[in-house]
Amino acid sequence: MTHPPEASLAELAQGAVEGPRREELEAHLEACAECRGVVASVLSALSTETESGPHRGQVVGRFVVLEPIGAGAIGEVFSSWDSVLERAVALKWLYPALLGAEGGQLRQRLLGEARALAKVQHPNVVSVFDVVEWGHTQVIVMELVPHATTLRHALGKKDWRAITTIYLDAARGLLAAHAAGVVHGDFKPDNVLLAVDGRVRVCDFGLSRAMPMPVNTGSDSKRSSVSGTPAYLSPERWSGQPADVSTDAYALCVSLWEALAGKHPFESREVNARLAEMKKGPPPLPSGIPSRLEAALRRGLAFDAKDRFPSLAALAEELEQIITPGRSTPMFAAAALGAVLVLGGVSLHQWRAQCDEAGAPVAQVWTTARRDSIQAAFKKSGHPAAEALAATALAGLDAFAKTLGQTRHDACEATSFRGDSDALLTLRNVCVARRLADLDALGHAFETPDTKTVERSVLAVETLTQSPGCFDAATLGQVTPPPAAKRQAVDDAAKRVAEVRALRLTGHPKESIAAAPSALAAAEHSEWKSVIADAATEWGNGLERSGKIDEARVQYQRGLTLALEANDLALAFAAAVQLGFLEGYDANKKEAGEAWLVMAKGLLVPARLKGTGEELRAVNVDATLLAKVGKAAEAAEEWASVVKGLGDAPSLNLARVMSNLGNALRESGHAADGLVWHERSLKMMETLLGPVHPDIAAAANNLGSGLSDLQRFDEARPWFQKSLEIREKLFGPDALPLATTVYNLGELALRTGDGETALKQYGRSRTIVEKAKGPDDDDVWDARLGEGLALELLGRHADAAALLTQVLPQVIERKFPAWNVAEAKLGLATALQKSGRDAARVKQLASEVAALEGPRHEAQRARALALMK
Amino acid sequence: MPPAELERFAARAEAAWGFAPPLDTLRAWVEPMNAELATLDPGVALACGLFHQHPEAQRSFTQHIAPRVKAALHRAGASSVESDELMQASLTRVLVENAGERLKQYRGHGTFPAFVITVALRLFTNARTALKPQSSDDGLDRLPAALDLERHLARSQHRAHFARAFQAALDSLAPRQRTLLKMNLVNGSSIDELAPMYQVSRATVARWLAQSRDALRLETLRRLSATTRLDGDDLEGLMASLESSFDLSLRRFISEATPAPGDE
Repeated sequence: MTHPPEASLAELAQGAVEGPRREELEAHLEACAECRGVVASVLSALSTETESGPHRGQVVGRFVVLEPIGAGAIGEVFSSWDSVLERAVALKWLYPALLGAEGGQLRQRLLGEARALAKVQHPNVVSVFDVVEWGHTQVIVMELVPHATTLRHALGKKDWRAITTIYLDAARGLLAAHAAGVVHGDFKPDNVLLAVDGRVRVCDFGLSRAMPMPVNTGSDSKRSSVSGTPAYLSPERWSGQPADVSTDAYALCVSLWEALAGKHPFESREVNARLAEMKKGPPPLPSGIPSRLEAALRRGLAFDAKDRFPSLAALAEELEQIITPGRSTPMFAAAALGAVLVLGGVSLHQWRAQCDEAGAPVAQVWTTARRDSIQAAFKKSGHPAAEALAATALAGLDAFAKTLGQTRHDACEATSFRGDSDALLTLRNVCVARRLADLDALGHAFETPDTKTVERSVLAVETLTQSPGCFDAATLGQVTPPPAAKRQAVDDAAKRVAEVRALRLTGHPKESIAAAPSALAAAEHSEWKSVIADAATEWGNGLERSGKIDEARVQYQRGLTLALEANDLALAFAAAVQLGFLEGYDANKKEAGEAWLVMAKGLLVPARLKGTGEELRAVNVDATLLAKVGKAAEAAEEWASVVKGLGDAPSLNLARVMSNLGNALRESGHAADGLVWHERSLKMMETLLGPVHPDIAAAANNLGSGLSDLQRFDEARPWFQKSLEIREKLFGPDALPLATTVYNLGELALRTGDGETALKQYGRSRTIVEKAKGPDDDDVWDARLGEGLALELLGRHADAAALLTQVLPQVIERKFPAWNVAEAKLGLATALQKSGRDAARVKQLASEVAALEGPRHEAQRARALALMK
Repeated sequence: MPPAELERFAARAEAAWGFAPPLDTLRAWVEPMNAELATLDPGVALACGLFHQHPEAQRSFTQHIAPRVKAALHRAGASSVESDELMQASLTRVLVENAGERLKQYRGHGTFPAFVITVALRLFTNARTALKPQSSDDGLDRLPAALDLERHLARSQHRAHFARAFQAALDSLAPRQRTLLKMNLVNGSSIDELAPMYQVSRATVARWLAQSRDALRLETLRRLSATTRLDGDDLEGLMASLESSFDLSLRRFISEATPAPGDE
């Protein structure tokens, strides 16, 4: 079957083809599942685009889209900047699906309306400047009315006089338009804006008349040509007559009645019932409204047009008389037209100026001077990687400061211009203040850094800057903001908590827990639960890192409870995750840990954290607990999902998770796959931390181990050496962190048949561990096992037999992995045999190894069988 | 073609896509289309610019259209990597293949991005079809036993009658009704998505769909009662089943109905 060209399918999907060609295409579509699938996908894609509308920063001809400010039945309105005339305007984006319904004709009609309306310049009319074609829709360029709300939402508890005055102004706007030959056609409260300066403006002239709207005429077979919003239509319009000036007058009466009564004068939706209701007239208005006003509205709503006011001007005159009795009004319509005012757009700069300074508090904390001083202090610390670390850490803090400044600015605009509440502004600003305190405290710590601070700087910055943002109303809106009188106390407490946090993040848990109680006291003094919860949780963090598990648990639980009481679900989530780690990892109680993680995950949805980096934190802890109990394959799966979720942006956090993933894969028997992650992790760390950092030493060591597992010893060696060099540089020649790498080098030598080196390295590893942990540590015996095997390899059978005789009972008692125990047995058996002693013992040891099961022991079983012969 | 009209069109294109080709080039491009300039989508000017490899046209394409193509692919179920690859392939197909001749297919009816999106989604569909084994269309034999309707039919041994009646009823619908039902039930297009295709309101699409479904149901019943000798109880049970699970069955039947000879 030949498919039609894509251009034809595209035209069909957009309804841009007519006649026989269209029938042909539709018939093809019915028969061809493949083309139907293509068209269905195209329809879905185009419909999604329509829904999502334009984006901030999008350029539409000479206009730059700024912010969405409202949406109605026919389109969405955005504040925008006219780059030619340099003024703020509003762009009304007509929904393309509506516009598509009548194609080119509709475009022409819209243009005609816009041209007519462009002639109307009146204080009670939103001016229309232009109509612009864009993509598959049209955009109406209008005067921007800052701080405006539609009458649907603006009237609230205003009294009858205020309401009537507002509608009188709207009537003036309608009259001016009528004088220019423009009928509104869809007058209703949603199309009247009330600005904060009290000015009333009618908008969306003629638009609805250009758009056909479905009306339930009670008979499905006849397509109605009635347009406008049914609730505000006059009886004539219901019977299909076109809109005219009297339509607008009638709709104004319906709107005013609705505002005074609090409900619509007529309620039936079906056409005949509605007409009957209209004939009967509306029910009485509530008491307290002057009877003259009610009488005027009843006359305005009369079923028969000839029973109504002769004109909108006459109706307006009557309304004015009712508001200010006795005042004589000369020629109302003329007065309205006389009050023409030339409106320019408000300057964008004026419009926005009031939020320009919103970012200032951030700029005060994060200054260039401070940056420079941190850079110099890092350099002075003498850490070999100080410069690289300072660069990464400072870049992170720069970005953090920028985000905080931007958030304050956006929060200001959102409340000033987009109607977000003052309470939300407070919440946003309190949130920023707390983050800013964190920035300040960490910056302070960076100005006088010790080695630990320098080393942990990058991770500290990452941890701080990954906290959830301060703008999202959904997350913030659940917390009750602190009362104004307590703001100072909250800010003070936040500063104290930030200091405690900075100490912990820079690797000083002891100092952190020393400072924590007074920070908690300051938080309690503020009486704002969210900050108290933070203080308690932070204290718990310090305690946990100092190994005080029981005390940490108490503070975490306190933090969790308070966070829940404060409805600060993001914080509650964080505390629950910490508890999960504490129980599952520190306290070795996997079930208890998992229970907390279940709770944490349950908080994700109400806290609106689903799909964010916070969710990944919980998964990460989950994986750690799985790995801890040896479920490496499951852990690998979870870590893989975290890696995927974190995306491509380099971060230490991501690099660490990659490394964990590498280890888990290796432990679950996928050494080659694991290797890839170790390599990526190492590479990422080097870009973030520079060449000399403990994390890089660990990563290099892991990479070496992975290669060793795959018997790629020559490739493994340089990584172990690199790891060793970094650790020697950082910690000196016999510090404990060196032991693992030295041990690995010994192992590598042993497996490549280099007995001399193996003996030397195992010996060095043992000495280091003995010095740090005493002679009876597991790692000491592990190294001794290596030494014994090295002696055997060197042919010093008697020495080997003597040493391994000591080692074997120890490794059995200490429950070393079966593979290591088997190596000890085989080594001892070989040494005994070669030195010609105790054949029975040789046979017994060998038979024990030969009895082992599983592929991992295959080579060992073969060696055992050889020994038994 | 009056120069003023051409200039107005170029200005419209400039506003829409930040680019308009030189007037002579544009004239040569649109004249063969033999259409009112005012009715053409300004994307035609962009297509013309791309054909002549104007850097600004290419920039505009990369900036405004490529991300929409990628989003459309993503929405259709392509992975991120796949979307990248398919987008590249679509670009090659539209801009490079046969020296860009495909651009001439786009004649300013509908928007230019929609055209490119269609090319990309066709490629995506081809890629998916190549991967998936073709399902055989023996249709009605493989009806699931899970649905009440079919269970009832199997019990009353009238399943084959039903299948025939249903197919005949389906054939009796107008082509547009069949297409619409398939788009809606088999391909999952919503009434909001279908409305622009038929240039009617969503309410009209909903009404059309309801009418098609009703017609199909009544016609099926009519044919069933004519061709089978169901007694009162059975017919009543069948009616009830049809009422309760008609939509579920419809989806299943339509997607598996045996195609007419010569099709697919």
